[in-house]
Formats: sequence, C-alpha cells, structure tokens
Amino acid sequence: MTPAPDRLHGHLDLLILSSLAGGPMHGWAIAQRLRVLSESVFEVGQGSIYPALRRLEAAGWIRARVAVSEAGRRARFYSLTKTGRRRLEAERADWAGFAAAVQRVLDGA
Amino acid sequence: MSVLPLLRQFRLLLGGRRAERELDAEMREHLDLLETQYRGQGLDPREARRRARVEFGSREPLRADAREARGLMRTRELVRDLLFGARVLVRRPGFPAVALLTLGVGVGGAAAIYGATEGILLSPLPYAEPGRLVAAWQFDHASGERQEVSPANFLDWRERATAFEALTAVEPYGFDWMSPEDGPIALETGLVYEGFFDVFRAPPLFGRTFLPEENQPGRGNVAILGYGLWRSRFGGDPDIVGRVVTFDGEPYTIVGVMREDFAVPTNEVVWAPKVLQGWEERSRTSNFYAVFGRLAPGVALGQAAADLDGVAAALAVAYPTANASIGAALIPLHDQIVGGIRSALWLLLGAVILVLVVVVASVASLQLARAVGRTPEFTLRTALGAGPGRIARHLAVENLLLGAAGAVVSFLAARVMLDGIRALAPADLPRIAEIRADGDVLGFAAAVSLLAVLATGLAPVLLAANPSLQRSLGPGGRGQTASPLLRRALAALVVVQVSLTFVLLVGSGLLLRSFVAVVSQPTGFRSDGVAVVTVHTWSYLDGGPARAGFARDVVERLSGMPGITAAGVASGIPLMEAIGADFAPLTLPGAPLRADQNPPLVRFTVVSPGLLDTLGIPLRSGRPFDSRDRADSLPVTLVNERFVDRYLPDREPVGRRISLGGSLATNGEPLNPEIVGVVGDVRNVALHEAPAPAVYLVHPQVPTGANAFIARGVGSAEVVLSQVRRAIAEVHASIPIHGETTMEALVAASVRERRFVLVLLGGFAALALSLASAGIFGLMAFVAAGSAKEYGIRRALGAERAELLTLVLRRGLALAGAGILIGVATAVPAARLVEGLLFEVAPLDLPVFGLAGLTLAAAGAAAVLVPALRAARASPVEVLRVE
Repeated sequence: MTPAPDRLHGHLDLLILSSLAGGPMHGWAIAQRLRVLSESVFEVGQGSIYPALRRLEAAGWIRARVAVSEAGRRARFYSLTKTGRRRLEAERADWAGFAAAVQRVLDGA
Repeated sequence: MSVLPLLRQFRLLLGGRRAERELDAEMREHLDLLETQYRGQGLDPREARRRARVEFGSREPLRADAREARGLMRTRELVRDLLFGARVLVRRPGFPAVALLTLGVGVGGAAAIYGATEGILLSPLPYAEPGRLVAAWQFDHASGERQEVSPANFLDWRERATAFEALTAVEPYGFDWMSPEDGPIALETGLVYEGFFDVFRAPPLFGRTFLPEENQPGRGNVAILGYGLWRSRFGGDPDIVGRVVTFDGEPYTIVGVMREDFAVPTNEVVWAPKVLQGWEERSRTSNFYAVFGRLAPGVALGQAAADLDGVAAALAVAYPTANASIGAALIPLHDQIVGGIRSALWLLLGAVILVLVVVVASVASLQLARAVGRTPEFTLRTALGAGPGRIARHLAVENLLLGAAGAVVSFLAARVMLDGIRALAPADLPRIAEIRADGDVLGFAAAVSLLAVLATGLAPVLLAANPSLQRSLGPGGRGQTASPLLRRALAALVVVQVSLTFVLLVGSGLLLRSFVAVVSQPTGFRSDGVAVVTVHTWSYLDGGPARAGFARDVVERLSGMPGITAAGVASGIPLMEAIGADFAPLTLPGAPLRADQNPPLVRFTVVSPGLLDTLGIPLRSGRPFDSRDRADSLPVTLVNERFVDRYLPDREPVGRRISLGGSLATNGEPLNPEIVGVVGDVRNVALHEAPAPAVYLVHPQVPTGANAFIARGVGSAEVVLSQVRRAIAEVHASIPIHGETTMEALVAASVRERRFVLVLLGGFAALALSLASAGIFGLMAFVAAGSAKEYGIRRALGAERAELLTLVLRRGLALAGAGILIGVATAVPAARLVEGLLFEVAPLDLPVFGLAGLTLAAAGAAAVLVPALRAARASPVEVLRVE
C-alpha cells in the first residue's frame, strides 16, 4: 500500500483527536504514535500534523500547554477539550459508518 | 459563528507573531528528534539531517498552511488595512483632527438636541396605549378660555359620556407634613377619583394602587408616593409600604410607590383617594378638577369630543345660571403635557437639520481637498502595482475608521451637551427627567457621523478608482492649478454653508432681539434682594381676625429684625403662580351691565400697608395704605394706572367707589371699597405680557389665608429668606411653609424658556458661522495655492500687488455674497415660521437681516485675507524659476 498524503487528508483530525484521547501528548509523540500504530502506513510528512494541530486549536477542540518533555526539553503538550471530546465521538461514529458502508460495498462486489 | 471561537481567533491573531515563533520552534524540535533518531540508527550526520528533512517535508508551505488553518489570512489583511488607515490618519493629523472636531461639535450638538426633543416631542408617553389618553377641560364660550372642571360637572360627565372607557379626576391639594429636615411644609398632593391609576394603566413600583372602596368616607386614609417625592423626602426607603405617615394631622398608611415615569402632574407628589364632600356634588361654579380619560376602544378623538360636547350642552340647559356658556374641550394628553414649548423645540429640531447640512458640507470639502492633495500618492501607489480596488478599499477603511471615531467623539460630546441642556432647561420643561443620553442618541450620533464621513468619503474613493476623473479634478500637471470642476464643487459647498449660516444667524438674531426686548420691559417692581415665603393659614387659624393678626405679627416681627429694610405680606406675588383667589368680578356704580353681559374679572391682591414699598411699586396719586385702614374702617382700595385707563378714563379716580364680588363678597354682598390712590403698573403674569387692570386691597379689611411674606434687607436674598422663616416660626411654631423663593429667581424663571431656546440656537449659529468661515478660508487658501502660478504670471505681466489682493478678496467675497443672497431668500419664509416666538420684533427685521449679512461678509473677508495677502506676495521671479 502506497503511503499517500491524500488518503490521510480529512482523517488526520480524527487520528490526532483519538491519539489525544488517552492524555496530553506533544507533536513528536503524536507523529510517532500514528506511525507505530498504523504500521508506517501514515509515515508521510510528519510536519503536516503541525498545521492540523493549529487548526484544531483554533477550532477549540484541543488546547496547548508548554511543559517539559520526557527528554527534558520544553515542548507544547496538546490535550482534548470538552468540545474536542464530543467532536472525537462524532468523528468516530462518522468514520465507523463510512467504513462499514465501504466494507459493505466491497463485500457485495 | 458564536462569540467564543471568534474571541479565540482574535487572541491567536493578536498573538500571531508569537504563534509563528512557537510553531517554528516546535518544528525545529521535531526535526532535531528525527535527526537524532536517524543518527542513532548509524547514519552519518549529514544523511540523518537530509532524511529528517525529507520525512518532515518543506517547512514554509507548512507555515502558510498553519496560518491558513488558523483562518487568519483574511482577518489579518483587514487588520493590516485598518492599521494602514490609522497610520495615514495619524501621520497627518490635521485633517482627522479638524474632521473630528467638526463632527464632535456639530453632530454632537445635533444629537443632544435630537435627544432632548425626541424625548419630549416624539417619544410616546410612558403609558399603555398612550394615544387613547386625553385631558378634559371645561371651555367657557364667553371668555374663549379653557378652565378646570367643577366637581358636579365632572360627576355628570363621568355618568353620561359614553365615548370613554373611563373618566377620572384629580383635585390639587397640599398635605401639611412635618419634614424631619425642614420642619412643617406642604406636600403637593393629588386627591384622586376611583380608577385614576387604571386610566393610565400605570402599575406601581412597590405596593398597590387604590382600591375602589378607599374613595368612601372613613376609608381614605391611605396614600401613594410619587417616585421623586419618595426619593427626595422619604429617603427612597424600599420598605416604606405599610408605614404610617401623618398628613394634615391624620395618620395615612403608605400603600404604594409609583414608578419614576408616572408623573401626573409630576412625580414629586403624594396621591390620596378623593373622598367626595356633600357640597361638591352640587358645586358647578368653582372649578378646580383636572380631568383625564381613556377613550373607549375604536373611538376617535373627534367622536369623543362630540359626545362630551353633547353632555355639556345638556348641562348648560339644565343649569343655566352656572353652565350657560360652559362647553367641553378634549386635548390629547401628549399635546397637553408638551404644550407651550412645542414650537420652540420644533424650531430647534429644524436648526439641527441646518447645522447637520453645514457640518456635512464642511466634511465634504475637507475630504475633496484632501483627496486631490493626495493624487500624487495614489499615482505613486498605482505605479507600484496597487489596483484601483485596493486603493479604494484603503480609502473606505480609512473613512470607516474616521467615521467610527467621529461616532464616539460626537456621542461623548452629545452627553456633555445634554447635561448642559438639562442644566439650562426651564425647571418645568415637560418630561425633562426622560431626557437621557441613551441608545437613541448614540444611534443618532453614530449613524450621522458614519453617514457623513462615508458619503463624503465617496468622492475620493471615486477619484482614486477613476483615473480620468483624477485627471479632470486633480492639479493640472506641474502648474498645480486646481481644476475648474473641483473649484466649482468646493465653491458650491461653501455657498451652501454660508446661506444656511445666514438663516441660523437671522433666527438667533430675531430671538436675541426678542429676549432683550422682554428682559428690558419695565416690570414695575423691584426684585433685587427681595425674598418671598408663602404660608397658608386656612386650616391653622380660624376666622378673619386670627389670620389678619398672624400676618400683622409676622410683618411686625420681621420689620424689627436687624438688617431688614422693608417687609410686607400679599395674597399674590408678581410672576408667581397664584397662591389664593386673585380675580373678582368688577362692577362700577353708574355703569350697569347689559343682561347678557358678564362682569369683567379684575386681578386683586390683598396687601399689608408696607408691601408696595417693599416691592417698590410707586404711588402716582392719592395716598398709600396706612394705619388708618383698620378692619372696622371704611374699605379702601388702590388701583393701577391700567385700571384707570380702562374703566375710568376721563374721571378723577380717587374718591370713587368700585364693587367687587365673587370671593370678596360677604353673605352675597359685594365689597364696595373707595379708591384712595393710583399706583404704577406691574407685570403680574409674565414679562412679555402687558400689565392688566389690577386693584389692591388692604390686609386687615380683607382677611385671607394666602400669605406671601416679602422682605428686603441689607443681606443677600438667602439671608433674608432665613430671617423670614424665623419670623414665621416665632409667631406660629407649627404652621407649614408652603414655598420660598426670591423675586430675582421669579424674574429669571419667567424668561428661562426663552433664554434656553436662544442659547441653543445661538450656539448653533456660532458653530455654523465658524464652519462657514473655515470653509471660505479653506477654499480660498486652496485656490490661491493652486493659482500661485497664475498670480506670478500676472505679476510678471505688470499687475500691482493691490490688484492681486483685491482679485482674491473679490473672489472670496463673491462666494460669501452668493451665500448671503440665497440665505436671504431662505430666511424670509423661515423667519415667518418663528413669528410665534418673537416679541416686539417683526420676522423681517431689517437690522437683524442686515447684521447677519454684515457678520457673514466680515467673517468671509477675514477668512479670505490670509490667502489674499499670500497671493499679493507672489513673486514673478520664483514662478518663472519653477517653470
């Protein structure tokens, strides 16, 4: 499977939000988590999560706090806001519906 | 979009630069980590960095992405435009400062007047369905006057008229009350009929209104406080309901407090239920009720008036002795309340419009001149790649900024000026408490400022967007001669300003001459340092001798006080509202009336012998009142000169007898005093009303309960006031003071409305004059600067300096002259509109028109002088060198 940014487009929000569901993380950790969990399928342009993080922040779904990371560096830690949590649930349901529909079409073929 | 995300965006926007730095740091961190990771895998540093870069992707588009993600590009562009606009305005503050000053004073003043007039004239009364509320009066067809309603007539009206949902009446009264601060005083009181508050549909602030049974005998000891009285005399106590207060020596329970805006007749009163007295049911000759009604649904004013007229006509037939000439008059409540000042306020509202036009013309010429001055800037920016749209947008944003600032400035100015108006306004200006710098005023100031700036800013925008227009309006190349089209546009604006200023000057001039005429009328009395304290003794002293004795004792005590130079007592004071009966029907022996004739009513005043001296009313012939005039001696009278002119034109008045009826009659027998002297005329009603026939009676012969003690002393009127109060208290400790004032205050109050209108209109005229002068100056300076080359050439061709001076002066004065001519044509019909406000001045008063023209011409000449001198100094050499 070709790792393609296009495929990611539109789902990155969901992936970031779900990564943060477990607790605050900084950008690097989010990128690493996406890479590991997706078994490197998403390993493209790790930098592209930063614009996404800004967008989510502007939308009020996540908020950033500066803290010291495990490596002893100061980093921005992102966490879900209350509206972000609701948004995550909505996006999850959306995705589940969409995936199921795609699956049904594929199964029918 | 809800507020919260907007706020967040705004915060991010403000922190834009910091956000960018943080993003950079964060991405660098990420790259470092990637690099470290690759190095850990054994790659050499350079390769590790390359791989990290590749994996991360290019940073610049990401940055842009992030900015875009924050949705800020557009907002930021707007902010940049705003900042640019602000910078342009601040860098050359002359234009915005002058524009804001013009807007602040002009629009602010207009908004203040609008606020005042809107509150009084235009906004509906604060009652439910106010259009159905009316005031009902008796109308005397014989005298052509409307009058209060007699009790029996009101009862019949209420019973028979069908056009009303309800009719109610209030009897003016005064409760005696022991004030904790001021001792015994009389509170303005309204004794109200059943349903009084329901007619206005006015709910109380606290407590309740009266119950129907409280108008029954024995149940009426309850009272409702007006808001103003509650605040001023009862400390605004919210727990006042249920408290028992002593009025007229009897306990009254406060059952409610009305809202601030319930003011019938004012909110400084106490209301109590009217308990009908037996005699009132039959009384048709004394009329003292104020009657209010609410029209039944769907009934027009005309129908209701016809209905009430029918009832009154039936009563006229049934009770011919009292009611023969008595009809009814209905007046919409709003008209009644606004009453006399209406025409003055409409005049001011008209002046507001004129001033606004002058202000807009000023701002427009400023804008035009500035836009033309900026043509090189626009040209440069166009050359640098700014499209016409971009420049137009910049100008629009600039104007928006200026308009918004103008809105703020003019609102603040309006607030200050409204305070001034309130301070200046006559105390009895109706609905004065409702005047506030509220949303309406703010809206007015904001709308007018924004509209004025944006509308006049349109021309420069058009100019900027349209290069061909730029060429035809702009300076013609190096020669810098202002284009004829622009000159004509600016000249037209100046002419408009001058002509409207002329109209305002004429209006103010007419009012000023009227004011001077009014205040220079001889009043007929001395007012300097004279103090007046009124006391009613009816319910405290029984019988004529006791009342006369009280009055005499107070005057004697007062006269003996140190510093008092003259003292007296009267049953009425010039320019003050009546405190007791003051008119009586007059018959002259030997001049019998025809059967269908009513005897004329003549003003009478009962005075102590020293009163005429105290007021400085001169004796023309005969003798003054003195100690010979005792209660048991022959009744005597003094009459004024007008009385002699009217009733005894060609006979010797002294020694004749006259006959006075009405309240002066005892047991149906009129009082027949002998005229012992003639005194000077006094303006009793108002300074602008000619003195009417009047007679004076002497105190011990006509006992009265209405006492106005008057004294003059060496101290100030305030010191004398306190002495009069002390004298009264020393003679009778518990008698309430009804009111106190000074003669100077009465004189000032009588011209206060006139002064109010004059000062406001005069202020407008002065403002317009300065704007018009500035307009002429600005235009001539602009034209002169643009014509420097022309003047230089003229000089080179042999023109003298004086010729150039007169050339420019002539041009400027031609503008002023054109404006004045148009102004005359406008002012002639406008002056006729204000005729009702004038006194002893004709609307087409030549001196006023002439002076207004001269003022404008002088202002125009002064404004044009500097540019003219500059033109005269034009040096031919310099012009040629520039060429």
